[in-house]
Amino acid sequence: MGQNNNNTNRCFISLPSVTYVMKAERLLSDRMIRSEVVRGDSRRSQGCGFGLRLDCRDADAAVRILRNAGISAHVKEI
Amino acid sequence: VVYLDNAATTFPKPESVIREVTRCLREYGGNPGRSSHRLALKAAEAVYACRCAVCEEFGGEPENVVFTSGATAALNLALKSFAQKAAHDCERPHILISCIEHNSVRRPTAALAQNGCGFSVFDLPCEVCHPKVILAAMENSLTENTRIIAVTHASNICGITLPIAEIGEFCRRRGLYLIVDASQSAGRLDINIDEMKIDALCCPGHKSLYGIQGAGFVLFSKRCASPDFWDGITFCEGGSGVMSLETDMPRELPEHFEAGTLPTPAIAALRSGLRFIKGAKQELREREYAVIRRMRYMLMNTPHVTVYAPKFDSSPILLFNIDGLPSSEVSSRLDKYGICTRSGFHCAPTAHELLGTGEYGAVRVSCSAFNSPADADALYKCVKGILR
Repeated sequence: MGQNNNNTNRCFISLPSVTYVMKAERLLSDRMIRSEVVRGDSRRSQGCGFGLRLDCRDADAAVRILRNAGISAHVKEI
Repeated sequence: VVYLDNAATTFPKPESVIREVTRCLREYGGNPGRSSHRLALKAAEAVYACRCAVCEEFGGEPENVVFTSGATAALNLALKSFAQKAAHDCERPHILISCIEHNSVRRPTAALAQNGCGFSVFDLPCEVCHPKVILAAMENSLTENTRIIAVTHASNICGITLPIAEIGEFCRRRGLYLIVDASQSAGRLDINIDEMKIDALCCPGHKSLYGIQGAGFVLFSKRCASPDFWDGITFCEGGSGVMSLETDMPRELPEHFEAGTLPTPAIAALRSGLRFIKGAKQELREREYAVIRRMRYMLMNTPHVTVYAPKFDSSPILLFNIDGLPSSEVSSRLDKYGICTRSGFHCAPTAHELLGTGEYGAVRVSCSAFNSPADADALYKCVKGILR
């Protein structure tokens, strides 16, 4: 678990591919939720992947928005 | 040079397209979807923006746009993947195609027939192209194993178009998959995959979408887009930038079908080409048709010149021959005058049979938005010169 300079917790939403990351980033931006595209952890258990990093306070709303749009999304605190 | 071979590839390209390709090569030449550095992400953003632009023009969802090297690769992907899918519930799935198909549909279909599929070709009554007549011809060619119908939207040798919306409805009512080759219609005729009930729309980027050679796409319908739908079906395997430790391809579109590095400069060009036609399609089409109408009128009134299927004028394409001269000779002489046309069979032998040019082929003239009435006059003058 880590913290950014603003002392707010950061969360990572993993998504199936970079295409879905782009789509998710736009969807969230339309709903005023700021996120940034990042590469996921390269742990052997996960392989390569992309996701969105965002303020954990927005994570639940973000996941709800994405799932409502039919996008499979999983969140974890980083 | 007067370039009249736009059905093969449009030339010249809009300046905006050339600028975007240059910008891509200079400013964001990373590998999209692979690394997380800024140039790779910028490339990925450009690719995604193109997916969105495709959907603005043709409907559908951006994640269902699968980029390919062109329309031929798109049609191969669609035909062979749907054939695999159909084989799940049918021992010998049957594919129905029209008699005006390009070899990019005919050959993969014939190849599938060597590997367990059946196929047949429905005739097009050239003189009576009412949708009801075409649908009746299709109905008569169905078998109990028919699962896929693959048709062109617009012929690549004349102005014949097929009623895709009606064919879409026909397919949906019978539970068939509809694959459409929009090589000559994308960017020119209105297409919406949702409204027309198309399951796979296959397009090149470098024709009337004004991109460059190297990128095309399949746009899949929503009903064919879930990960479960393509479970166990692949077309080409390789790196995808995600799930690197797995031997299987990712289950989700588009990466499921996009193995290997995408041609970002060509995709950027396609997006710019889509911007070029956006909102201007009607005007561009009028410009092209004015030129082809002028050519048709002049050549139809020239003794010793035969213009084929002149009643069909849905595409800016004109097919003709000069009495006593092989089409290759006419095309070659026109080239000496600086006029670029294409002779022969245009990879569409059965379409030529339909028009009565199956034995010797013909000369094809095709326009883009960059042609002018002066080009029609130049062609006419040169044809008169050849006749002398």
